[in-house]
Amino acid sequence: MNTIERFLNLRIKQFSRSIREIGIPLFFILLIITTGITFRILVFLSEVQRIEMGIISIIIIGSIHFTRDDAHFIKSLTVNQIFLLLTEYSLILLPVSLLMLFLGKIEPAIYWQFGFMPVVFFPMGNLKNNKVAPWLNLDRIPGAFFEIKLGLRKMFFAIILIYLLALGCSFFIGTLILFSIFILMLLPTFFEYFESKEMIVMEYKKGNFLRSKIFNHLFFFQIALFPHFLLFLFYHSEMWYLGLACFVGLSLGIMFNIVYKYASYRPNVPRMFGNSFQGVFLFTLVMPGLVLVSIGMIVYFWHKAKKKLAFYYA
Amino acid sequence: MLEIKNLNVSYGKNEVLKNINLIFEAGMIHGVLGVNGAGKSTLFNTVYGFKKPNAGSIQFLKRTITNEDIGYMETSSYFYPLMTGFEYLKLLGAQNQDFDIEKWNKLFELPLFDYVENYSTGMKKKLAFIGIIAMDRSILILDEPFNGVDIESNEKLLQLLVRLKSTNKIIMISSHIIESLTRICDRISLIEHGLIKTTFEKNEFPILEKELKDSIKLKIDDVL
Repeated sequence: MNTIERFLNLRIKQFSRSIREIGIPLFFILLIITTGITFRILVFLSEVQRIEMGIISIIIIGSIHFTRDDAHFIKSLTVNQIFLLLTEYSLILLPVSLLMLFLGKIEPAIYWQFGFMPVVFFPMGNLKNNKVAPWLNLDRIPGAFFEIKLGLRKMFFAIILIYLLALGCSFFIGTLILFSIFILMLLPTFFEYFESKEMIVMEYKKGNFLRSKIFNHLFFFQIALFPHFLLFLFYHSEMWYLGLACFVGLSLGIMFNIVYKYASYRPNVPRMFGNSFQGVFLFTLVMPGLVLVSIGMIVYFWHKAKKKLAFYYA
Repeated sequence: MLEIKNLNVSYGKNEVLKNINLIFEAGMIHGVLGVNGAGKSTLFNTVYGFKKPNAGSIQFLKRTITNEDIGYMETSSYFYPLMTGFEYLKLLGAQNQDFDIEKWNKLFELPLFDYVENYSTGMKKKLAFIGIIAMDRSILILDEPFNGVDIESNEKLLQLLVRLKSTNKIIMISSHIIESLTRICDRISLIEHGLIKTTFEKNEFPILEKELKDSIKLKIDDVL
């Protein structure tokens, strides 16, 4: 077996192991229950906005590609990097392509399967290297919103630019979906650093640490994104369920990133390493039939995070 | 022979390495010493190709160096979640058919069938070290290999590096533990604010140690 085969084999194993962590019986039950709901949205997308399947494919793969932690590791393998990435990303997109081909949606399947390709020619992990902007005065945001401050400092211009662009293009039906996926991609950047022990202890003593953290962040993000939902309903009120799906998807994304952060918490370690579970989560959130798997992941990491925090601070 | 000529590297306007000129010979261990932020890791990253230089050249055997020539152990190596130590070594050693994982692991006794995320810092260091051995490259770059490693494994690493040197490899190493460097290195370059201040040969190491101790004493005297 050569290096590329070994690498892909390892990635597939990782995916199956993450499913095993959730529990195989639960995974299959959730898969059966949710197939109909998410597939309906996907079929709708593939019928109405075919070219957008390519754009969504770029955004999903871009979210993985530009936030990868393993760029140095992949380079050290000294294999054809472009070929390796093309193969890995193709495998990620393949299940949906096969489903679409099964339904006779050949054109959207092609957009979906091959649309991402330009992404692999850009350097990996670029968003991870963004320097923090210390000049940005965010003093009015309370300390409990440590993550929001950090995320804004790291990606202020990108966020503002895309935010305004998405508002300006809200009359396009796909804008809210693409914007939501963009925010979902960015969320790990907000939550990758741990606050100091003292900050956690202070908040933990107040009780309901995780619950209030989730509630506060949901509130903050949904208020910030409210104009987008409002404009979507204004222009496309007949598609209200798409707006609802984006709202729920974003809320799940915020919840997951918080619980995952504290599930991997270790005192004296400044930041999380490895984003594979975040990738798996995003994958299950946007893939047909897997939404409840992502909910299962939230529940699993919620319990893990509670145990971790109790171990260190209870 | 690996030759670095007039190397300049900067991050934005911040010039991190300034006009670096160094020669690394096969069968030698070359230490790089300097305080945090002096430019050691940037030097290694540039040699490996993670960072592009603004000027200068890095030549190995009179041709431009590629990362296929180098096994690079970074300060903190990357490990995928839900990956076992065995899988990690299999992946890195895929191009080296002769590499015997079990034999090498007899030295460090790592739980190779456990997930790497459950390893301690020292165990991860040891795994990363076996990983670069598995790659079997002509040049080994080790950035702080002794951090977090227990006394016994530290000794093993030191002895192994001396053995590897005798197989005609070029070994570049950085460490904050000066005793480890002076024991195994044939040459140590002192890097300060991105400049190579001096390169000491083995017989000059006592001078290096004295210089370092004196400069630290001066700094402490200034404060107290």
